[in-house]
Amino acid sequence: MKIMNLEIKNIRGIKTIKIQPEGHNVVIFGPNGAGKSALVDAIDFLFTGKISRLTGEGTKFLKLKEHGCHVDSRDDLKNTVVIAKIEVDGKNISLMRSIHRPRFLQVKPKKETNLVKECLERASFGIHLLSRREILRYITSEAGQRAKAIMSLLNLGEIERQRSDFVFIRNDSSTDFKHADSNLEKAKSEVVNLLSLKKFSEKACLDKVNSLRIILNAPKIPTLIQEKIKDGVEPWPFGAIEEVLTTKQIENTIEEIRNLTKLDDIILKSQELEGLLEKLDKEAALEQYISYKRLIDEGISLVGDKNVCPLYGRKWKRGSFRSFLIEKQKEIEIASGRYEKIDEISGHIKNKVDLLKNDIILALRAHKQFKLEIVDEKRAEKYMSQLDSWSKAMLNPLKLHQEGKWPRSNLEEILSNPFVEDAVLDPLDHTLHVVGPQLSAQQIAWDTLTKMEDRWKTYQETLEARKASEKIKKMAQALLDYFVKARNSILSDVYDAVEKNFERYYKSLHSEDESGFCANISPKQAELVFEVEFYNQGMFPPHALHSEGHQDSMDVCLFFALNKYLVKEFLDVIILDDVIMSIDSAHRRNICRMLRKSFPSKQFIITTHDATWAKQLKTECIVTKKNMFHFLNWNIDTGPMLEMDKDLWDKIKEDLTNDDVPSAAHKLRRNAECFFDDVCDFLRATGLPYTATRQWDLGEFASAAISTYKKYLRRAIANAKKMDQNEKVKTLEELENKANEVIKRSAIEQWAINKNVHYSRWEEFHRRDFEPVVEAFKDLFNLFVCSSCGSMISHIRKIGRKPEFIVTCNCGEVFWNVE
Amino acid sequence: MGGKSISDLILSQFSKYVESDELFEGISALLVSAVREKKGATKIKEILEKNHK
Repeated sequence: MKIMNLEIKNIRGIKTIKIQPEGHNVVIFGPNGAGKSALVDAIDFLFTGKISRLTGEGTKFLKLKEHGCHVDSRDDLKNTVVIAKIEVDGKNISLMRSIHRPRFLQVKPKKETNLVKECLERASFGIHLLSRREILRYITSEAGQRAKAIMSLLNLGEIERQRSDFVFIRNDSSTDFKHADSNLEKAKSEVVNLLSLKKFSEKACLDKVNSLRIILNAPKIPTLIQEKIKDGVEPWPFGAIEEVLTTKQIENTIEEIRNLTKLDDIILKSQELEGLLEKLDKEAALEQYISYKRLIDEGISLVGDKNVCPLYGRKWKRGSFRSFLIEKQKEIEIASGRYEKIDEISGHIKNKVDLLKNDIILALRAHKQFKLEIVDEKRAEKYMSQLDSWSKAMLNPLKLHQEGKWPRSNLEEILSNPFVEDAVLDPLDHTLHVVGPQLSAQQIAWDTLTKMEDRWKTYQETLEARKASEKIKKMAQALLDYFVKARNSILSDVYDAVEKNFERYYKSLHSEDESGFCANISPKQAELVFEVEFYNQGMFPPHALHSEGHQDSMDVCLFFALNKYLVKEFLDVIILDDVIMSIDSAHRRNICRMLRKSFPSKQFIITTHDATWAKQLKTECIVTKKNMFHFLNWNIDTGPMLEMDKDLWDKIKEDLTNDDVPSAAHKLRRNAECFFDDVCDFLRATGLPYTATRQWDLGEFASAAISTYKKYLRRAIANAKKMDQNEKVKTLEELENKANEVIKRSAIEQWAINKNVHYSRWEEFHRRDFEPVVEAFKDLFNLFVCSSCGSMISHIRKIGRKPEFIVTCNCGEVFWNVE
Repeated sequence: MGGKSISDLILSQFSKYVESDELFEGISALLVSAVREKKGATKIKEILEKNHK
């Protein structure tokens, strides 16, 4: 999709402007505040219905309807429009969008609406426009912010939402499992307590049940099933009510509370847990590697000594790949071990805390049973809530620790709280001693078996629930691992493609000083690592060591790499809004070549306040004279004044027609100096005298340029003769004769210039005296420009099986072998 | 579509992993379609809870 015509009315600083790029590149230049960016905003608005400059950070109070229109048009929004004729797949389509209804894009013919929408969907990523703001987003931002910006470009919000879903399911299942595990332990403890066992085992339970059945003259049962516990037992006439605790149960409860509160291992485990949590807080990145475990294990067996990644088939740039993988494998083992340990310890603590809670509840029930009124209810409530907070914290200790929501009360203090011994256990002990055994052995056996029916049912239910919960937890963890693994694998491919293009573009700009340049763009947890190689000194963040100019280059290259991946062939318009600020002239030329070579089908809209860069874009044939627009003299009533960039010779002719020789002379002198400066650069001219200021005048530039030109032409003739290229020899010799004539003529005229080095004396010249000077220079200029494509000839090293030096133009019409 | 195709690629890779794991035998198709249809965490967990045996 390319822009053929564009009309803007009352948008930002523009009152009314019409341009006709006809699908070709456009350069808009002019001083700051001339309204260049308003044109960019208008195109942005046409494509997206938004103005990027009015969105994002720091734009809270900026609104499209108030600040997107010209200040005079706030009450006439229907008249704030951008109209364009575009071409998509050879079809001519008209577009119109108004700030009055920014979401509505009028497409004519209407049947092409879907085609246009498909193209403009890419624009909604924001990857059609590069401005200074994006430089801050991609290059100099923190890894997390950069990841967000690039992920938003890649439209990965949905992927991140799905990952969050899997994390939620995993955490929820893990919590469920801890509850199930705790419930099972509680059920076991109640059985142990009821049967006065030392330790839970199904066999011990069966033995105890059978011993109780024998007291009641019933036979042993082979397996412990709820329905069979009292099978064949004669009902005991004075059966106890379930709620009443037996003396033995109370004694067991007291003993278990004492055991639990004296457990040094809980204290030690809670300290170990906190230590592990603190370590993981500091090493958050390790979580990422766990999902890579299998990949890395496989990688080590495949990589061998080749130092090439078996997955991507690319050479590892940072030392030994095998050592890197082994190092990562070790880190994964350590991290996995820590996560498992945290789960194990927190589960253990939770079970013990829950058992203690349950026993305290039983003990308090015993208090009520004996009608003791010693326990302060508020103290009891406070104590129970402290136990509760630990029980809850153990469900997801890592999250609570990271969020700073760790229980305030220390576990050691809770367990050694004198409340338990003094207010709960001692009074019970004393009462039991006074009351003594009240029930017969048969009564106790009957009561115990009655209660055992319920306890055993609960035990079996909680056992099943735990098994189910464990499997769900395993499945939830697997789903998350698979999703993260799939995401990382696919995104690595995406980032790899972007990285390759980024490297390629950057090398094409800095082949002379950074031919070995490489980059690393890779996801790491929620961040995006972006490192670049600095002159064989290792990998560093892009803004760490490189100059401002190099960072600008990186920004442009990353933008193009992302654009290439995302936009593909759907949207051909690329806007560069005053971005190439710190890049020097030679590297700007390389940017021009990159635009031409790597993006031949794109339509660039380039704004700049730098007239030299604008001129360079024209010299390098990125833009034609027709599509150079000079914005100047902006004022609030008229918006920017727009001037088409006229041809130099037309401007001089206009001055001479008006008998304004000083103006014509000034233009010739100034432009000739710039022109020969460029020629020297393009031909890599030798012979410029050394100056500390690196500034030369026209005479010095012209002399160096002409002598270099002659040298190359002589070499080209000699090489053509060697190769028996008779036709070429003839053409080149004719050119040499013509060049000598032009140079000779211009040298005569040069006398006029030399004589008047300070061109103020030209004011005395008559128009007729100055016209031959102009003609001679025009012919002289034409020697250095291809008559077919209009580009300046340049000296380059042609890369091939046998590299050779040539002088050529953009279209290849000029081709001199100057080896 | 840049973003959409990335999302599709990820889900397709994810499906392969899930389908080849015995742990999800019999429910992989149900799970994958719930993910593709963006049914959300509650629905996916419900599938696990109903089909864990």
